Amino acid sequence: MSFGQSGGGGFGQPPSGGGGFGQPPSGGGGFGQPPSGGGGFGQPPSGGGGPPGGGGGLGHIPFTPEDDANLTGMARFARFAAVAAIVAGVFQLLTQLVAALMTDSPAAGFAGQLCFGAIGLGVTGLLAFFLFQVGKAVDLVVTTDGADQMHLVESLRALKGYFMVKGILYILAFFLFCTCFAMAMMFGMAAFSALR
Amino acid sequence: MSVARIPFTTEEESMISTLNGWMLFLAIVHFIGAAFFLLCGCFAMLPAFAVIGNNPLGGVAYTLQMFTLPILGALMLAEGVFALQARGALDAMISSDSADQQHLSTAFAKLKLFFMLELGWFAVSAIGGVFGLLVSVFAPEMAGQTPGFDPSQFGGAP
Repeated sequence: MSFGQSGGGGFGQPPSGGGGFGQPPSGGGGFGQPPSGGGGFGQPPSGGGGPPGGGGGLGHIPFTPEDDANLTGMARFARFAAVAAIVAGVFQLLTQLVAALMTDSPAAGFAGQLCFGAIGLGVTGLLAFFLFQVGKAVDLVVTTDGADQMHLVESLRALKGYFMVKGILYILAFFLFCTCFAMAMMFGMAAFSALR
Repeated sequence: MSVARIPFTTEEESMISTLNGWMLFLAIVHFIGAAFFLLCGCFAMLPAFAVIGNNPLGGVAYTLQMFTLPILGALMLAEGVFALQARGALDAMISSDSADQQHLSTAFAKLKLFFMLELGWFAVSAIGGVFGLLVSVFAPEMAGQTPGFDPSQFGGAP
């Protein structure tokens, strides 16, 4: 395990002089005095343990093979989802265009559906872009050992972008739904009052 | 051996907190959306079956298109659960300094499942789009009868 930064571990090199028992004095039996310096490990070097400072982040995060598999799998599925999102957007656009062509006034419907479908496809493209970014950054975390934390933060930032765009879409969809519902109610009430 | 503390900067922790907020919002919307799609799917299936007699090809396509709605609802429900779990793990990562790497691994494992379902969502959505296309061609009178808003609108999960 390495953290990619100097200043790392908690234990320093043992001081010279090593073990607890010294050499027996020549000529006699028993044990001699241990040399100065004592046994075991010495003091940790200055800088100590813990995470490296300096704001550079961890160069290498020691993921287990299982973690690596999860990360790689996540990156792969994020990419697949990106491709599927674009395909779904294209299908949706085609469906809308065909539906517009089947109406009584294809020209008017076609322009509207094309505009609406193009916006949908653009948003899909934006979501796919974020998903590709996530996949790329996560792959870099797994395959490289120079700036794992930086790539990790990049992937989380792309994830934030993805979830934010989706969240904003939900909010817009909610307002659109409310507007349509309110307009339907208004027209319904107007028609009802006209009938009376 | 795993890293107990990943030294995120204040700005990075703030960004992860924002991500957590959006994930929570998304999970809640997914739960509401799942209920909506399940209900819409159930209500739309019954009239869809009745249409098959009048227009077999268009009716079957319409029924299959409606059948994708409860599937999408179920996928949304599961996605919401995994988004919540991933959010919980990310939250634990930034709020504690004892097992950051473990929490991060958990978060990515849940996100993997989330994206797996997201892939399924887009795939089912695309299949629904194909059936919608068939309905538009073979039964144009039914093309505008999709209950609620279109699942594939805006190219993503509603």
